[in-house]
Amino acid sequence: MSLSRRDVLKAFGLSGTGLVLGLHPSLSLAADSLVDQGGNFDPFLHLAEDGQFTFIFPRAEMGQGAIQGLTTLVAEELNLDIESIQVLHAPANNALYMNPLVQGMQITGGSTSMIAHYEPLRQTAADFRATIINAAAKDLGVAANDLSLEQGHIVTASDDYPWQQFIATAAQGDRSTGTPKAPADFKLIGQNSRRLDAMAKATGTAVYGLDIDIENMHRAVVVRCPVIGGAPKTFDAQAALNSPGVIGVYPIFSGVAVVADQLWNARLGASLLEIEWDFPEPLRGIQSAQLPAVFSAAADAEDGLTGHEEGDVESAMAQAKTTLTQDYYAPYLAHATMEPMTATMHLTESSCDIWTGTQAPDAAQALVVSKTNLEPEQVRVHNCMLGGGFGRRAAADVIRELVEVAQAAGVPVQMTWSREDDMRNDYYRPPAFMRMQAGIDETGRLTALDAKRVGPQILGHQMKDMAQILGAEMLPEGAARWLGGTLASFAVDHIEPDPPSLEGLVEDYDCTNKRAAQITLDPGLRLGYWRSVGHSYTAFGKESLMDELAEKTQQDPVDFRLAHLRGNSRLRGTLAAVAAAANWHERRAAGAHIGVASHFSFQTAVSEIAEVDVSNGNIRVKKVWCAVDCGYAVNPDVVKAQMESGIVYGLSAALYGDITLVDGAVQEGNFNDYPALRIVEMPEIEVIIVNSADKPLGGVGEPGTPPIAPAVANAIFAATGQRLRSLPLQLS
Amino acid sequence: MKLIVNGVEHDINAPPETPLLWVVRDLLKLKGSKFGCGAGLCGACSMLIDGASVRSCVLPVSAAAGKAITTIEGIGSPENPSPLQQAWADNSVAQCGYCQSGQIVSATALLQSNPNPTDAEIEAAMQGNLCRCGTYSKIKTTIRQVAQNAGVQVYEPRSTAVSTGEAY
Repeated sequence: MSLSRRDVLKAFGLSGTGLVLGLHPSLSLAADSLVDQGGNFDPFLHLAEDGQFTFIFPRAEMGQGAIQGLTTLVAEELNLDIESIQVLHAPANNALYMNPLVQGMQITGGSTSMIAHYEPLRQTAADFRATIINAAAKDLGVAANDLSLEQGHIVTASDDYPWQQFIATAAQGDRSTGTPKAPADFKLIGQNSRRLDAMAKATGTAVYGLDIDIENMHRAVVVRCPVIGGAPKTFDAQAALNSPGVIGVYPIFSGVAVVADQLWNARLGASLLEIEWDFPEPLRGIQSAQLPAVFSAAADAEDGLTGHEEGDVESAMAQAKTTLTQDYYAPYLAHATMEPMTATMHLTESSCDIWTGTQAPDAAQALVVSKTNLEPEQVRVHNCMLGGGFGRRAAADVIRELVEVAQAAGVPVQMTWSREDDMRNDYYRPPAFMRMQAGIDETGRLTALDAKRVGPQILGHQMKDMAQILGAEMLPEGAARWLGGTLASFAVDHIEPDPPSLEGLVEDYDCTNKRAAQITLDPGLRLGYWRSVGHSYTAFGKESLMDELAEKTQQDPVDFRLAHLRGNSRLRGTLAAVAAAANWHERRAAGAHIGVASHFSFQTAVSEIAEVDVSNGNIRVKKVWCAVDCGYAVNPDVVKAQMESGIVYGLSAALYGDITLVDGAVQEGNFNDYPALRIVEMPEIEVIIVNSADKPLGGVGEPGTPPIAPAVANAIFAATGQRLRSLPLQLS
Repeated sequence: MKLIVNGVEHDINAPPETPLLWVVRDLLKLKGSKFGCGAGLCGACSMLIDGASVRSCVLPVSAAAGKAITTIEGIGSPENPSPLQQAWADNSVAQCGYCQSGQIVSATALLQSNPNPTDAEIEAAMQGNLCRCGTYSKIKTTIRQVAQNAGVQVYEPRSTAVSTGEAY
């Protein structure tokens, strides 16, 4: 029997990794019924009898500005001021609020929010407008064509009426179908507007998971195994139990939990625990310093599993006039969101309330269902503002810990991880060794591109967690474990590589013969989705190689790339735009230390030029020019902010990011040994938005990140002649 | 011990070594100051103590007793923001927003002591406050903008006890 990857993933109710982009299924559920209870029309839009209009925001706001973008779409169709709309995070209900691009999951990720909702949400709002206008026409006895909707009023030639006056009639009739505005009629889409959450976040009044305080709330601190996945073998709780405020000590799957009246008391109690651990294999034997050599040896010995193939790479490489082979390496990375993982749970016999900031509220709900006798509708997830997500808050590990603690302690519990807990219990960006080989003909054109990536794959790690959730809902416990642990790994090891392993490694440039292959060696450290996922390392391999090829064939790095972008108009456009903005040719001729990189990801093209100063032996990035084409910028200020954000996040990783393992234990714990860019190191960033109006729309949360590491590395070469092929970038 | 927070005096019953941050958040229920690192490295917990921006996650509450403590709530509210907060909101500085209370506390301390800082002085005053979302460009722009607005009172200090709060 031959299983395709699609078949395997279908078994999990997923398309691809959960981050794969596809067609837009319409949000038919939104138009399912008109409910007149309290003026409800649909799951997204709610008009109350007092005229308050609410948008139930189906995604999660983690800083990326989706709350602003999607509310703008609604305001545009309903002719409302953006700031007059009350916006609420949706409850966990993946039938109503699933991401249309991520089958069956209510997830925010993959830079999909605007892409997923741009058409269906405008349609929903247009339907809402048509429905209320038709109801008003009926009540007022006039033709619908003679009415318009402006700022919450139904307007006739001579009069206007508050729109809530027509709720009852609208709810009794059928829902009308409206026509979304043509772009020429946009008043809000395409314009900057003040973020809805701006004042709350400037005054400390925005509510994050950390800020929840409920009656009788206790605090839990978990002491976890220094090697992730290890479990307590034996422990002595006596001293902790005698510590002030401690009400109980409980072993859970990941460690030992101390529950106390106050967080500080829980921490003090936890510091008194004595625990002997069962360390997990094979991770306990892993030293990350050895991985580059181990991965390199695998690249020497194995062909790998092909994930991308065009033409005939081997014969093209043999015929090439010039060939070049280089190895590049990127390490494990942590997300290090500013808000450490935090959640609060009130669990009873018949209900469970969860307050947390999560990218996947339905996963939290499903996890509780799998561990209790509760039905999904008894498990309510109150999503809070996320203090950074970057992919980390798609995981439900905190909820799994919390449900075990809440069951044992029998009181409402809040769990706030320490920074060290957070740094050492992440779902890490996988390391990647990339062996890149290219062939160039006598005219200087790329004729063959052969890439091998060695390292662990994300999917199997995610599926282990997914199996926890699927266990109760869909499958017998044993089958779930087997599927999670074995089948997903089998599929990506033997049928087709996990897409993030190779995404972006060879796709961008014109070249008739290409191949990308995956060799899987997995040290066992758990993995997840880190801002831009596979692109975060593949761009470094690909764009470093392109620079080396330009140098070897004595071509200008921008011109060499432009000559190979006939098949990629968005990327070509951004590269031309960024080169013009930075005066690339003149600046380079004048000896400036500048480097360039281009990368296409999440349906968006981004090209960046970095200027560095290495005069005092340190790498200082002085300026970054960034051109982005996401098709169309719904809010240019948010797009610009996301480019700056992606660059800063990528720059922290490029200059400092390195999660290291000694005997399987993550060594870094806080911002002293896992530094992030500070304001003194912030380069000036100039963003050029290329509104090509090319369809489809692209995402903006992630695509700013991939090009920055290679752009800086290439600038360092211009400055020093040193090719830095390993991240983080360090001058020798 | 007596704690004066945003001009309100509180009688606090907590172990003296408890970090000020947790007393303010968990006993006084002022949730605007955030926990980020617990080691004085990220600035999310910044509070003004006698006008200086201090890392409350590593400051024992006993060391703050009797001093004038101002949290983000004491600087302004959505209904009555300080000019800096107003500019911060109008410029849509925040992304995830989690570090922003601390950023505004440090910027407020800077502008109080130095109403017209240079770029280098802004960077020096703000370098203890991390932002993973990369809002630094907008932070600099906003501080410059408010600083240039000469004569604007950036913050109304509420350093004297004006009322007595609940005891904990």
